[in-house]
Formats: sequence, structure tokens, C-alpha cells
Amino acid sequence: MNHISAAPFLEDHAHLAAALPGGGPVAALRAAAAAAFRDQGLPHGKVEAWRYTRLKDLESTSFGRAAPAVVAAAPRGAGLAVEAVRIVLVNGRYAEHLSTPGLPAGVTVKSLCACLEAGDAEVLAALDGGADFAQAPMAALASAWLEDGAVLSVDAAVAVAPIVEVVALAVGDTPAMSFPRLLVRLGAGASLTLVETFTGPAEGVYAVNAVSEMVLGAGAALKHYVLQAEGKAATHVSLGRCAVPENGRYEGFVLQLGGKTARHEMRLKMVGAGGEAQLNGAYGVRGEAVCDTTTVVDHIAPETTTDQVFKGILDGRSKGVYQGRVQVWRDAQRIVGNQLHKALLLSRAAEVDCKPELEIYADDVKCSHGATVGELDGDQLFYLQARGIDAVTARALLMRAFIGEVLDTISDEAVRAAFAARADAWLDAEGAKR
Amino acid sequence: MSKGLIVTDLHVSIEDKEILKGVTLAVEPGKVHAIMGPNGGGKSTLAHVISGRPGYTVTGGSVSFDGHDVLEMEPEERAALGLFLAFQYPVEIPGVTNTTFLKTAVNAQRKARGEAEMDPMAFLRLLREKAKLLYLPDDMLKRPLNVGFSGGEKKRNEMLQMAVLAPKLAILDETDSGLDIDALRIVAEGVNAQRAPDRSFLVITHYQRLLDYIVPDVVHVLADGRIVETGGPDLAKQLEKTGYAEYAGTAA
Ligand SMILES: Nc1ncnc2c1ncn2[C@@H]1O[C@H](COP(=O)(O)OP(=O)(O)OP(=O)(O)O)[C@@H](O)[C@H]1O
Ligand SMILES: [Mg+2]
Repeated sequence: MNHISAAPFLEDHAHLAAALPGGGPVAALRAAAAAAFRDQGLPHGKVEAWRYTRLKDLESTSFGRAAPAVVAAAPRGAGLAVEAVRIVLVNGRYAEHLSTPGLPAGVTVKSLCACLEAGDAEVLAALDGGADFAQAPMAALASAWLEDGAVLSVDAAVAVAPIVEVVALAVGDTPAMSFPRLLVRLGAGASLTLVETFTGPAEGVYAVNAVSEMVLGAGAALKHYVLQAEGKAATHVSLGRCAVPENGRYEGFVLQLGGKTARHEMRLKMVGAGGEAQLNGAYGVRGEAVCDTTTVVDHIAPETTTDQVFKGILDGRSKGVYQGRVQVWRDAQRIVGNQLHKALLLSRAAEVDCKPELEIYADDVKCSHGATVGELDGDQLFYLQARGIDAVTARALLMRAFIGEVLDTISDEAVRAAFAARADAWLDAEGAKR
Repeated sequence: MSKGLIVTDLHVSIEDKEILKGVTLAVEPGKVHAIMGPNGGGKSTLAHVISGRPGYTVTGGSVSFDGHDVLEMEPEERAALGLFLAFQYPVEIPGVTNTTFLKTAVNAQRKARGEAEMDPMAFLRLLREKAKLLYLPDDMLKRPLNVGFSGGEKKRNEMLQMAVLAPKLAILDETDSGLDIDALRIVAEGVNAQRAPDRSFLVITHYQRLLDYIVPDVVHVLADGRIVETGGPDLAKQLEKTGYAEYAGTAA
């Protein structure tokens, strides 16, 4: 299988795209993106970056573009249980009436559609990080249908106090694909705590193909927490990109608990000296589901530090994938790049694919990677049971401890508690099943 | 209903190798029994089988506690009945604090017995009070269970768990090994403070010294899977002098 036709996803593209917002430059971007996607086709196993994760439902089911939908109110529990300024996207489109009115000083939110219509060249330039569509086939598909999303900007030197949460909500009852699109711009020295939450119908078949772009000014600090809580029949593909500038700080955490086939990819470019990034995450996957976390970290500037820890719990016949690529460019001396992946298998039929890749062209670097795959420890279980704790609770306690270690690295207390509660709910479903 | 622990002609194998070859033993409420014996004789095996550790095959005999056939029960059910094992090698559990662990255990046992959960403040008071008696610093209660604890601290932590859970029968598997002289005294005092008419102890040890502090009612020698001798406190003193050579023949 060398090519899976892109055609079903680009049906009537030239004609339909003509009706989408924006002028000539936007149309040119869409056309270039469509051509790139057509060339590559749907990602498949022969493509190195997609070796372990096949988008099976996209291969077999025809997914139309998700139509605009009017939702009177966001469903309960769609967002994270934290105090936050909320920006809601429904099927990828900015839903102003569901979003929090009134923003903190120094913060602006616009619909991407409005920016495209207004011909905002800065916004257009910031999208698609230089349009490296050859390295991002699914993002190319998303840009081929570029239409709407949210643009969040923070003025220089503004420390945004409240958490800002972007909820990407999928609705509808036919198999359709939506394209949530987010552009975040932090001015020099600004700081923001951002949560991206992805959710949709619990049982329905749908697809989400999201792209988030984060542009940081010098010395800016971003906390970027992603909760992938899609329904259990969903296909979720998301790509996040952030360039960490001089003395910039990026703290990321990705919690993936949903979807039938889910892949979250984060690309970090360390472009300024003194930049520091932590990119951690956890996932829970069961049944026949596949959960893929892929990271690409580029150390371009010297004296930059990145640290990654990911932990997964797998049950049933599920599959977990962690691909972590760290590239150190020739001039990137005195950098530190660490990564670690730990998987806990609850079932012998579950599978873990872990692929660390280090490409180092500088000579003064400290890089490490580690990977472990284990089961629940029988001695630990017996110790707990011998003190009167029943087997189900004991297992849950050990799983919580396993995941808790990495959840504890979330520096925002409210988000940490809310993510822990989501992980707990996933584990409880685990215990109840036994 | 016969009170206390009754082990009758217990045969136990691990992977087809017979380890216990017919152990018979009865510990009445309020009594302290000591088990001594050479390395590899089966002392820990006996303790594990009584508390329900998986991996052992009982090929014959029975174990009952207060009239219940414990071999049919899950480890947590045995704990709720009042059985407690102080491990020879306590297990480290990262990510679960000592306090959370003990609170979960106390409430799990209460729930199994049909009792209400303990008031969290009352629990903390109890925990601190017992920790103080064992000279365990407060910060050890907040640390992950046994992680980074020294050998002696782990053993004292086992005693803390015993004090908080207040079992009816406590099996101490070499709790004295690895303790310094002061810690040994503290642990022994902790045990003595818990002695009560309705609480019994099965103390596994290699050293007479512990039995100077915790004076047993009965001393057994377990060698090669059998109780080869039973006597009073004097038996331990005699073994200190003669060793186990006398029983070596049975180990063939
Ligand atoms: N999991 C196991 N697999 C195989 N043999 C085992 C296992 N556990 C224990 N044994 C064997 O069973 C025998 C009894 O071991 P046990 O630990 O009960 O002895 P012990 O009397 O407690 O010794 P010590 O005084 O050294 O603690 C030993 O020969 C030991 O090697
Ligand atoms: Mg032993």
C-alpha cells in the first residue's frame, strides 16, 4: 500500500473552496494544501511518521466535511471543571454565543473566519508554520478546507490571570470531519495558561482533524494543557506547533483518554537561547482503541532544554504508540533533551510501540531517552490486599499512583486537579468492568 | 466456634516443591507464640499462606481463624477478620503516601465489617499518636509508602500499621531483623503495649534478644517444613547455645 487516495476528502474541492472566506492569498494556501494532500494521500504505514497508526475508519468510511451546527448550549461536562474564560468551537467554527463574554485586559479573541475575510496577513502568515505540508499530510487536509477557528492574542507583557480554555466540540450524527483551528499569539514577556479540550458524541462516529499554532514573543511563557476526551468511536488527529523563543517557557501536558483512533502530535522548535520546554503527558486506552502520542522536538538554538515524560495505561486489545523525535542542530550546543515513556499493561493482548529517535549534529549535548513496559506489581497488590484493601481498589490505587506521578508535573493546581479527576473517572470505568 | 488461629497438618508446595510438610499449630487469643528455625525452613511460607499470598499451593490440611476457614478467603477478607502480617520485606509503593494508604486500609476493613468510615480528623489524630509512640517523624507519614525508608524505618512502619489497624492476630516476620538496639526496644514496647486478652501474636525471629523483651508463651522450632520442637521461653535460650544442629537430621 503506497498510496491511499485523498480524493474522497477533496471531492469537488476547487468548486466548494471558492465559497470559503478570504481573498486570493487564502485561496492560494488552500490550493497548495489540497495539492500537497492529494500528492501524499491519507497517511499509512509506509510513511515513517505514521508507521504504527492507521486511520482505518478514514480509509473505509466516507467522511464529509462537518456542517455548521447551531448549538443552544454546550453540553454539561464538555469543558474542564475549572474556572476559565471559555472559547467554544462547534464543528471547528467559532461559536461566539457559547464563549465567555468579556475578556481580561490585553486579551483579544477573534474568529479566524473574520480574520481571513479581513485579509489579516499576519494571521495568514502565522498559520501552518511555514506550510510544511509535506511533513504534515493531515494538517494539509485541514488547510485545504481552511474556514474558521479562533485567534487568541495576548499583548506584550500581559500576564493573563484566568485560565483560557478552548473547547472543540463535535456535534452531529453522520460521519463527518471537523477542522478545529487555533492560533495563539503571545507578545513578548506575556504569559498564559491555555487548555484545549476536545470532545464530541460519546458513541457517534466522527472525525476531528485539528491544528493549533502557538506563536511566542521573546520571554513569553505558555502553559499548554490538552485534554483529548473524544467519544469512543471517534477518529482524532491533532497537530500542535510551538516555537519557543529566547528565554521563552513552554509547559505542555497532553492527556488522551478518548477516541477509537487518536493521535496527538506536538512539534516544538527551540529557536532562542535560554528557551525551556517541558512536554509531558498521559494516556489511557482500552478495548480495540489506538492512542498515539508523537512529539518532534527541534533544538535549533544553543542552551535550550527540553524534557518529556509520557505514561500510558493499556487494557484489552488496545495499542499505545509513543514516537519521540529529538533533533539537535549543528549550532545547538549545550542543550539538554530528555525523554521517557512508561507503559503499564493491564492485559497481555495490549500492545505498545515506542520509538525514540535522536538525531544529533552538535557535539556538546546532554540527551537521554528511556522506555519501560510493565504490569501491575504482584507484590505491591498483595501488600495492599493484606492490609484489607480489595483487589479492585488496590489495582486502582496502583494505577492512580502510576499516572499521578506525571500528572503531578502540571504546575497549574486547578488544571492538575481537573485532569486527575478525568483520569480517575477513566480508571473507575476500569475497575467497574472487572 | 474455636477462637484463635488453628493450623492443622498444613502441606504447601511452590511449583511442585513441597515446602511445608504438615505443620500443626494453635495460637489462642491473648497468647504470644514464637517461631524460630533455620533459614529456608518455611517460616515466611507459613506466614504468607496464612495471610493469603498467591503463588502457593495448599496440598493438604487447613487453617482456621476464629472458626473461619481462611484458606477460602481473599487476603483482604482475612485482614478484615483481624489477621495482620508484618512483612519480612515490606514493599515500596511510589505515588501512594503512607497516610493515604493507611486511611484506605482502615476504611476498607471497617467497610468489610459493616462499620462506618472513620472520621478523617479522628484518623489523623490516631495516626499521629501511634507514630509518636514508635518515634516515627511526621514527615514519614506524608512520604510515599516505604519509598526510600531505611530498613529499620520500614520495620517500624509495619509496626505503625499494626498499631493503627489493631488486628486480632499479628504475625511478625523477622520484624526485629535490621533494627538497631534502640529501635528493637521501641518495637518490642510497641508490641507489648498492644498485648491484650483478645489479641495474639505469632513472632518469627532468629534472635533470643527480641524474646527477652516480648516474652512468649510458647516457642516452636520450624525446620524443613515441620514443627520439630515446641516448648516454653527456655527453648529459645537453649537454641541460642546449641543452634539447630540437633534438628539437622530432619532436613535430609
Ligand atoms: N517463590 C519461590 N519459589 C521457589 N522456592 C521458594 C519460593 N519461595 C520460597 N521458596 C523456598 O521455600 C523454602 C522456605 O522459604 P521461607 O522463605 O519460607 O523460609 P524461612 O524459614 O522464612 O527462611 P528465612 O529464615 O531465611 O527467612 C526455601 O527453600 C525457599 O527457597
Ligand atoms: Mg523468612
